[in-house]
Amino acid sequence: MKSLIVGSMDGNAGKTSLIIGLAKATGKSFGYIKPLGDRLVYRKKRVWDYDAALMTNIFGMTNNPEDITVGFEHLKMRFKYDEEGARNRVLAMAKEVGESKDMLFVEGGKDIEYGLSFYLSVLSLARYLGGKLVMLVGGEENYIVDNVIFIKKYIQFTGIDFRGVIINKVRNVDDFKTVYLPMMQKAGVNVLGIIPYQAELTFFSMDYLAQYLLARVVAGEEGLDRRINNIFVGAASVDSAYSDARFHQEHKLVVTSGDRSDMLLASFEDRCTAAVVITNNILPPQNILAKADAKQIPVLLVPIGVYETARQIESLTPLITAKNTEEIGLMEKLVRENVDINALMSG
Amino acid sequence: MQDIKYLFEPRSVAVVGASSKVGKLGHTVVDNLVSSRYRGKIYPVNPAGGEILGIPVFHDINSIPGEIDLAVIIIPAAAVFDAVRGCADKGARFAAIISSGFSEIGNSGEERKIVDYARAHNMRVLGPNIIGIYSSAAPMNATFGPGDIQAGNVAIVTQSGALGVAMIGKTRVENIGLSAIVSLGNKADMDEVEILNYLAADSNTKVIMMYIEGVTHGESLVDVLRKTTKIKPVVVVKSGRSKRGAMAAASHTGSLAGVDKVFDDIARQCGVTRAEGIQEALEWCKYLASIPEPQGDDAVIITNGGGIGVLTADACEKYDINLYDNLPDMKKIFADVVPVYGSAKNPIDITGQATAENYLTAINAALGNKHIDSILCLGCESGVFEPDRFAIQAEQLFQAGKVSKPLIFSFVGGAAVEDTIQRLKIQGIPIFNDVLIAVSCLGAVYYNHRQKNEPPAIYENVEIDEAAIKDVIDAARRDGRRSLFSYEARSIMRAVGIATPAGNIAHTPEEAVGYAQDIGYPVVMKVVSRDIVHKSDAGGVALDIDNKEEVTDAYEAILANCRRFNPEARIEGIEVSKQVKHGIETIVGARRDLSFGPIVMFGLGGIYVEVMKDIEFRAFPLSKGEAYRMISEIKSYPLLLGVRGESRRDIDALADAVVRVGTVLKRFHDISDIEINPLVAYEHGEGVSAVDVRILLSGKEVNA
Repeated sequence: MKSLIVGSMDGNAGKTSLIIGLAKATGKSFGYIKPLGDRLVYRKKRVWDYDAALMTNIFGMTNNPEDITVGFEHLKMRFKYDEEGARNRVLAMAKEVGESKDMLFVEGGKDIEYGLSFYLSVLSLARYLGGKLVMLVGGEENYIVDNVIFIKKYIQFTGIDFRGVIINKVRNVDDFKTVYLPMMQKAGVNVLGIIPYQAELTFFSMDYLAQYLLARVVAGEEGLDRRINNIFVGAASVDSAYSDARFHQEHKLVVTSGDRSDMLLASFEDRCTAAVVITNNILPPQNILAKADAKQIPVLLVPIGVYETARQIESLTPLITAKNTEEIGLMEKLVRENVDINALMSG
Repeated sequence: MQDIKYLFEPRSVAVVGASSKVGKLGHTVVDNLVSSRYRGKIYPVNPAGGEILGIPVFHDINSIPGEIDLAVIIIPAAAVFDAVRGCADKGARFAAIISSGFSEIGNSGEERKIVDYARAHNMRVLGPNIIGIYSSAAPMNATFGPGDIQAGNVAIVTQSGALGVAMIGKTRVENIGLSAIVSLGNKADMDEVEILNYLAADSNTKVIMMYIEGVTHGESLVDVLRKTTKIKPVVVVKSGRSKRGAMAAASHTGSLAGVDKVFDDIARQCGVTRAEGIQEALEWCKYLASIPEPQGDDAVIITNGGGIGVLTADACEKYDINLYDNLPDMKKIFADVVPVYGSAKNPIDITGQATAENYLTAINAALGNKHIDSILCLGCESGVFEPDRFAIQAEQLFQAGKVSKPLIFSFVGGAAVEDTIQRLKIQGIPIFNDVLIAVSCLGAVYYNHRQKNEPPAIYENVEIDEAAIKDVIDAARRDGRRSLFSYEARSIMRAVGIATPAGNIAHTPEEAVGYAQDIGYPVVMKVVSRDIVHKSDAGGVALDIDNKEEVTDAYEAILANCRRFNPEARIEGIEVSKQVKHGIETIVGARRDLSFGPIVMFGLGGIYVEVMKDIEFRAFPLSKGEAYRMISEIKSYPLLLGVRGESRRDIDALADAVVRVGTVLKRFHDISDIEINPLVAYEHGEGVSAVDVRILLSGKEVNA
């Protein structure tokens, strides 16, 4: 069984998106596991990873999401597994999911050292499975160079088929290739791809936001697959909001307190409003929510205040859903055009 | 300590700010004293001296020979302190300060200065910002309102000066005699508590009416109301029901009204009759003072119209008036007056053919029957009914002293009927042109009768483990916390004697699994963190955990969710406790209300409590009997009795829990709020379980 382990130096580097792109671009049959989850969803007394669920949905996998992740929290993992236990669990999972598939994609933890203390770091996974390892690096250009050279200089890949690095979310690819790529090549690092930044991939869906915030959907449930690109905090008056350019940005999410009927009505009337989050557990009158229902504008209710809600949304990592066929198509295109797939996956 | 008797029956009254100019308030007060035939000494005081209405005016207080029992002060605010000082130094017992311009406009400092000085010199202050005081016992009208107050046996205590003046005029028109009018104003010193204590014992007063905007010393007020309503009715009109009303009331006298629901429930607990408005209150007071008390619960309605009879029957249900329903008996009683086409079923329909004589026959039959305890007599104007004849017969009936049970009339019709109503009303005969008011009057009579005859509440001494409770509080205080952890709160419940599910705090998944196995599945797991109050909102609760695998998954999920919810939250651990079996979820709470002191709450609980708001409040102390009644007053009470084949719940255990929770709050001033939600009620005999308990400590440590 062939396997490709995708790791990263930092969280939110784009591992899941890369795997989706590779899976689509290669067109092969594949399995997917994510032994160490980082986007926990707790439903019906089971824990599963959001990415894992996403993959099973996108690719119609028959495996249950909770069966392709071993766990999340250090305390639980150390309680349940010693080194041999962890290794055996991963191997069993890989066999279950990857047998009879052309390729098993394995997504590592959020960064290179995550899971080390309970034997599930990305390097451990690569050693257990004997597959190919690629490291995804993103961020500011100089930071990328530092990380790549760090990998080359200090990471021991003994027993691991390390294929190289893929640079992700690069704002200016031409500039990067001219200025920074030579430095990395000079250091002897195999750069398998430079993927440009795509704003469309930074959107998040309301469905995911609802789960992330543990919010209640109080209106517009049909619109939960709407994607959000901008956030507007409705704290000031409606007049101020109207004169603020951000209020008129497309795909905007308005965050405001539930007793701000004026702001809510203004938001529902504005064509750029994709969704609304109402805070402080204050439910507006039913006739106002009815307007959201009529326009299929999803409205989420959270108990926390406006500031805390905005803060949490700010720290959220944008993810796609199975319904986002355009974004999935875009990932495939980005991989096909910018990654040396053959060098990555051959052998 | 001054004897309040000298406020109501002063032997001498000084009027500081008296004026010889007609139309000035200082002149009106002196004039009213004289015209009310006040028998004591009147000392007008004005630096100009002279004479007012033939009475010599003193230049200052010190010039007054002899003692002053009551000083009425009616001068500009800036001069009041000096006047109070003069009166206090002179040894005056009471000062009634009519002058305004104090805390009601934000000038609290000057007001405090006045009261402090007065108290230091053993003088009590009524007001400021009042209309004065009237007392029929003296007799004395030391107000600036109308002069011709009719003496009687209704006492009015009002927080509104303007309403007080208006009610003087209104009572005159309505022919209601007054034993006292006391205007409280800003309540800087004396408040309704002391006044009520006096009026409760006053033999001239049969009914007390109160207009309240805000309550300050609620605990004492509750205590005195409970005692007073056992002696005589207290009718209250309280403003501030609506938010607007509350705001307006706040600006009117600088007082803040408490939550109206709390007031309403506590008013009922104290046996107070609460009227919607002034007119209703005055009607009730008038007739509560004169209508005989019923000897039993059974009322009859006598009517010449079916429609008005049904309206009245509906209203009787609203006002909890029981209608006598022994049909065979009523057929016999009213055989002489109900025609074949009438009805002897309550309401007794003597038909539109009934004359004044027919009415009298029916009324006499009802008066003479031992099974009938009260009578509502209604009528619609008809071709055969003669209002004049009826009026004469009604007058004769009352003048002959034959009305030994409550008898209230309500007639509807044209000018002749209205004239009859006015004629009888002026003579104090209870008659109305609106059937609802008539019924509400009888309702007030019955309400007072019932609560007056209730056995006194017995307050049991509840045994609780005070040392254990103190330990928990002390530990939280040392930790610098006001909010107790749920396991601490539950340990207090156990110390109080309220059952809670067994549980332990786990700090690792291993401990969690161990505790779950010890306790037995299913278990519930909840985060323990001082920074996460609403655990469900943070994803910090997992229910129905059935095995080891689920324990570890739940442990993991709770930690991850809570860290995401509040990355800075200090997580002390995860509590593993026994999942209780299903029952009816109730809520029991206690807190220190700003107005009323310790109050308890009971209602339908669970996550929808803030939506359903099916709750009742009571002031503490509370007897178990009162707790039972409180529980029975929630709308969802039938659920506790058992519906659709379900068994009755352990209401005894619920009542016991309410009393115990109140006891903890009462004894531990360190605790400001207790809430058990849910307190699950099981079947009768199986008790209750406090599943989720929140306890808040007060802002600063207070010795119990």
